[in-house]
Amino acid sequence: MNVSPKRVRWVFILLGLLLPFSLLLSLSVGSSGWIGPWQVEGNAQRIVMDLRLPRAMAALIVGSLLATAGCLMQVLLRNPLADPYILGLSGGASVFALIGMTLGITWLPVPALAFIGALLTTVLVFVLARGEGAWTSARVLLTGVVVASGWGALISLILATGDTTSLRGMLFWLMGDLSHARASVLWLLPTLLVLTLIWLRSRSLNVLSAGALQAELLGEPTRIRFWEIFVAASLLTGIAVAMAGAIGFVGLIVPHLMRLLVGSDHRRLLPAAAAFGASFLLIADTLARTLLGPRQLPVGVLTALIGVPLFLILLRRAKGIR
Amino acid sequence: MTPPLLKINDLTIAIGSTRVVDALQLELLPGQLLGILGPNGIGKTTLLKTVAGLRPAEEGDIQLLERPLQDWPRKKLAQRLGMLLQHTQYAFEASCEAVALIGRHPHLGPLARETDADRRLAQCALDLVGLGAFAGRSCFTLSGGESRRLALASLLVQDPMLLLLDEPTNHLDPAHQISMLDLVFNRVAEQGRAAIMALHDANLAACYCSHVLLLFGNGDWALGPSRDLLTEDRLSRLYGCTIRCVEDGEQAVFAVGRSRSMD
Repeated sequence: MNVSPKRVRWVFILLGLLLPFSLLLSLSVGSSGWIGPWQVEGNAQRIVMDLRLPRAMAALIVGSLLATAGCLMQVLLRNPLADPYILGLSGGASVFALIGMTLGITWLPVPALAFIGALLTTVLVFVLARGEGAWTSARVLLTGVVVASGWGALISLILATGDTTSLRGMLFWLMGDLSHARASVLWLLPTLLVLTLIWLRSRSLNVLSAGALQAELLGEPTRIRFWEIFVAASLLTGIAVAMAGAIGFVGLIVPHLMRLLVGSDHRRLLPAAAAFGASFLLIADTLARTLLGPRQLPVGVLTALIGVPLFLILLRRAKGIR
Repeated sequence: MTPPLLKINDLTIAIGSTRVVDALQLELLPGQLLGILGPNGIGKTTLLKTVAGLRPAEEGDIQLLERPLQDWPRKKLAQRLGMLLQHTQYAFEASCEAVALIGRHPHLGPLARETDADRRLAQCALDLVGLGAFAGRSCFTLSGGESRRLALASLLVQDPMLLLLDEPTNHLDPAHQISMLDLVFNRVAEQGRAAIMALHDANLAACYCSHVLLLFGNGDWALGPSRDLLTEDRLSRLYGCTIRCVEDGEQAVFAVGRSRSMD
């Protein structure tokens, strides 16, 4: 691995170009045909501004949140294969959001419920998978996968027994789907703020990647830091799930590719992952809307189709997996 | 008289019901290098971790620079006390320079970036451990011994007053064992620092350590200047096997006697 500063600069320039490009693409393409950015009148403008833009904003935000949550989970478990979907955070968030909705809990908003579900799962996986000394990767992944499939069963149970039974709802919570997701452009500000706050902790994340003991010896209060990461990763996942259901593998693929391109220093990795996560989900959702148009696919199907083979390749090639 | 760097008073450490040390008294002055010797699993690592503040002591108190260990904020402590862990594992790929540079972490403000001066320190430490040409190489490509030397480079970059080293010579060939201990010895001798290291080799302890602490198990310990404490009888009792002292005029060498099954 040789990450020269020159290469990093090029990667960031390309990422900076890719994001507006994928945004424009997702605004221009859709089931009502191609609408160029210059067509700003009448019906075309309404389709872009009222339908495509809010959905594109949702894709952009969810993509960057999931990619960042992936980076955080990977530090927490010291495992490059950790991902909020594989480890069941998204599932936990879905179950709690669903329970809240079926029981008609109104005093807690859905994102808050999803956050609680994700936080509970994070702590559960961390406590169960934690070994003495070195982390055993196999145990981490197994625990996460089992917890995730447990949540999946609960989602099916709730949807099968509740009044809200519908295939669409099931797909949304199990696979992730952006067709009902709407976000205002204004939401970009709080998203950027949260991502910046996490980015400011980058050097601590680098030190924590070296292990809890080493981090403690280098002056990090690891117990506090771990809770900060628990909460941050769960918050990001919870919001993403509340917006778009459990979209898988974005938190795995994106950080991994960015690690290859810009290295493991979180000062570079976090912004690269957030930017590429946003572009990736924008493009994936554009494909989901158009591939079988006018029928729409859940975007989670696409990310899983890309993510599963990649995950298997990574698992096979991963160093230090025992 | 210079104040002690480390002062340990009535320290008792136990793992479950097994006692590591009972009422340990110890004063470490600048310039001193203390070796901890004892059989496998006797609690050398636990003792070092306790002194590093990674685990609480069962009883007694530890003072670093005349201030109780638990009163030090973690970051300020890391500027003065560092430890080479027995095992280093890298979860993510990084360049050797980045790994060495991590030692600067406690010296930098939360938002600061490493400066060129920090980078020079890292390069200097890599040169010292003989990995000068490896700065751009991935830490995943290193051999066991090279990883060990990279971990020492991180510690040298951290540059604490008190260095704790848990079996620093693990995985190292004889030449690198000596060059690693030379580095520690020079750092301690020239710059008024002190070090404590867990060792398995009585000969290396005799060469480099001004003092040794022997852990016999059941909380029994013996502390004193190496040349007084390292004797055939005591070492044989320590390890439970015959150890002979062979002198060739230049130096005394401890040799492991033949096991009875070979007679």
